[in-house]
Order: sequence, then C-alpha cells, then structure tokens
Amino acid sequence: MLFGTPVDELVAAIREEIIGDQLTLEQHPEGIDRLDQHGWLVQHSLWLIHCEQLIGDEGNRRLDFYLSTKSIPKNTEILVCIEDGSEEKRAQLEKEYGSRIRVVTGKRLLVAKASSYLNTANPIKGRAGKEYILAWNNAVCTLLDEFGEANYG
Amino acid sequence: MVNEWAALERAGEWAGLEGNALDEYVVLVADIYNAEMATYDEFENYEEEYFQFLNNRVFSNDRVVDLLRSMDVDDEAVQAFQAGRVPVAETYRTERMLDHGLDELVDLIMILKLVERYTTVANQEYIQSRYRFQKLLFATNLDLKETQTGSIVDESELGLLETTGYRYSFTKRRSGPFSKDAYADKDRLYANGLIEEDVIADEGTDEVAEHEHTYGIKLSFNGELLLNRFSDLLENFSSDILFYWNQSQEKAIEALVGRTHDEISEYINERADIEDRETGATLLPPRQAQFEDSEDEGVGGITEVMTNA
Repeated sequence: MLFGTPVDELVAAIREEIIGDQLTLEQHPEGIDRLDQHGWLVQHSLWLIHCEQLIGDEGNRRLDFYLSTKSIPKNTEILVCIEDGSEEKRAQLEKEYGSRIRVVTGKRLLVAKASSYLNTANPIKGRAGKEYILAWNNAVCTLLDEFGEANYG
Repeated sequence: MVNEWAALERAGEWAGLEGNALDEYVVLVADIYNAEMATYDEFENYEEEYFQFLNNRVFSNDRVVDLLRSMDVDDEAVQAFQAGRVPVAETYRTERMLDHGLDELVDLIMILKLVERYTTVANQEYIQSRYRFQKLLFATNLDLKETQTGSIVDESELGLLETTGYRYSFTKRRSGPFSKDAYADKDRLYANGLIEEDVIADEGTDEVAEHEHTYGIKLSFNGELLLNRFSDLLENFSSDILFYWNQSQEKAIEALVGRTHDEISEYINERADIEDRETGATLLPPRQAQFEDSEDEGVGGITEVMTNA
C-alpha cells in the first residue's frame, strides 16, 4: 500500500497518464527482497521508495549506499514517498540526498511526477525521447560493466 | 542533460513556491504537461525547442497563471509565466550547481590536496601524467584497504576503505587500475578552473585518453586560492575519516614520487597482484558500507516500476 492505495491501483493510475505503449510498465513489488542484487536493481528506471527505508532507525544501508555513491544512473528517477506528509522528514531527505531524489507526499503528486518522467523518457517523443532512454541504458551498461556484472540477468 | 522533465518543478521553485504549494503546482503543471506532450509532435532534443514548448504550452496556461496568483506569487514571476518567459535553462544550471553531495565535494577537495602535495613533494610543476594521477588515487585507496587500525568499524576485508577514501571503483585496463569516475572528476575540476592540464610531452602513455600526448596536471591559481582558504582545515584533519584518508594519500605520494612509469606499474602490480586479472575486472571497489538486513518489513519496502522501452 502507498498513500492508502494498493500499489497496483497506483500503477494503473500512472499508466493511464502515459502516452503511447502502456504495456511497457511493469510492477516489481518484491523489490526490497532483492536490494542486494545491484545488477538487477539498476536495470529499473523508476524507483518508488518509502521514506522509512532511507531515514530513521529503519533506514536501509544498501539503499543509502546506492544513493550516496555513484551506483545508480543519473537518469534513473527515484521517488521517495512520505505518507504522513511530514515536513521534517522532507527536510531531512532533501538535506541528505539533495536533488538525487524527488519527494512525493500524496497519491496525486506521485502519479504526476512518475507520469511526467515516463512521458519524457519515452520513444514516442521522437529522437529526444529515444536518446533519453539510450543515455539511461548506456549508464546502466557502464555501471554493470564497472561492477563486473555485465552478464547479469 | 538528464531529468529534463524536472524543469516543471524547478520553475515552481524559481517562482518561490515550496512545501504544499509547490506540490499543488506540480500536480497541475504535470497534468497540463502530459496532455500537451500527447498532442505535440516529436522533439529532436530536449533543449531549446523543449524549453519553448514548456513556456508556450505549459507554464503560460491560464490554469497555471491563476494558481500562481491565488498563491500570492510575486507579480514579476507570474508575468514571466503568463508571457512564456520562464528562464528554464537557468533552473537547470542552479540544480546542477547544487547537485554535488558532500561526499562528492570531499573527493574533489582531496584531489586538489593530492595535486598540491604531490607537486610540492616532487618539487615539480605538474603531476607528470594522467597515468600517474590515476595510480596515485588507486594507491591511496589501496593503502586504506590494507590499513587495519581497529579504531573504526573494521570487520570487513576492506579495512578502512569501509568508511573512508575516494568513492571510485577501479577496473583493470591495459594501463593497470583505472577509474572512469576519477577521470570525470578530474575533468570537472578542469572545467571549473581549479586545475590545469597541459601537454608536457608529445608521446603518450598507455593510460586511457593519454595515448597521443602526455598531460601534466597542476593547480590553477583559483585552485591554489581555494586550498589556501581551507588550509587550516586541511592541515588539521580532526575527523578519523579525513585523517586516515590524508595519511594514506601521503603514503601514496611518497611511494610513487620517485618512480618511473614502469616502476609504478611494477609497484602497483606487486601491491595489488593485478597481472593475472582479466581486463575489465574490478580491482578495487569504492568506499563500501557494512550492510545489515532490514528487519522491518512492515513499512512496505521498495516498489519499482520498470520501463522496457
């Protein structure tokens, strides 16, 4: 659940806003169990993360590491969800991770940011959209190669 | 340029919005943006034409202007939206300037310190090649990896590299250990006028991007000013993280300063035993962290949405 809404409903809401082929969107709710699989993780271009996974006692050190080092392509979009709308958490996230993440505090904002991103990094927008995706893809390949995971499935 | 779509939010910040007001604005402009993107033709690139698109078809939309007015945004900013004159490119530049995390800045400062110390110890104008520069960084992290003081969490085989050192991953190239990110950071320092790179020999080395000529690296005037300004801080490292980092860097300088190219190659191979490794293999990872499994699954964890475009 995110913002009181089942994730598949959120995904459906994002899909409705996407131009072109909506079948390109897939959900992987088991993500937290595979955080140790860096090579798999970086092959996803959009991440939705609960803020508790980054701040406070429950913060996940793997995620913090990936964000603190150059282990995620810059073109990957990382949306961090604050479900209680806490300004304090927002300030902490922005202080610690700066513009590397984007904070969302509600369902409408989440759909707005995710869909804007996916409509920009989208081949239907011609050469610009294709190059956006190509840049992301190349960054992933460079990372996988650098970490010795070039053949990671 | 990456994350062009973020100009939607940056424009709102430029207008002075923050918190809930900024969120409300983003929801509205994203709605207009998605609709306009659906009807607009293809973009050749996400630069000038895209900025005009944002101004002409999104920011100047009456709904956006009305919302900004209702939020008591400064008149001048509202007029810029209404007239389609939001300085989109400037919002990107601001973001990029602020996009250096503390970790990145420390890397850059430590590189400046390396250049200054090496040229002083060697009594030379330059670090004499990009090859030597890369190997100095590698030797620094290698020394941290091998240093075991027990004063810092040290349960992994990475030694002090667990908590300090450059955040560069070194892979094996024909020239030995090489880090693409270190190369990029060197370029950033050059682009910001903090170091200078001059051709100092017509023949190259076997280093990446140094095959045709040899490049000497030295501090620029501005780089010297920057280091002088922070000289007290850099002379008196009070944190363990910087202290051990600096200590290893000094040892790396001392080890390589009198060696020729071939001697450096031999020294690195002896220390790191890289000769038998395959090209492309990771020789030394960046600063690591000791990971622990999260025991709390109640918060729902991470959810990813993937595009296969």
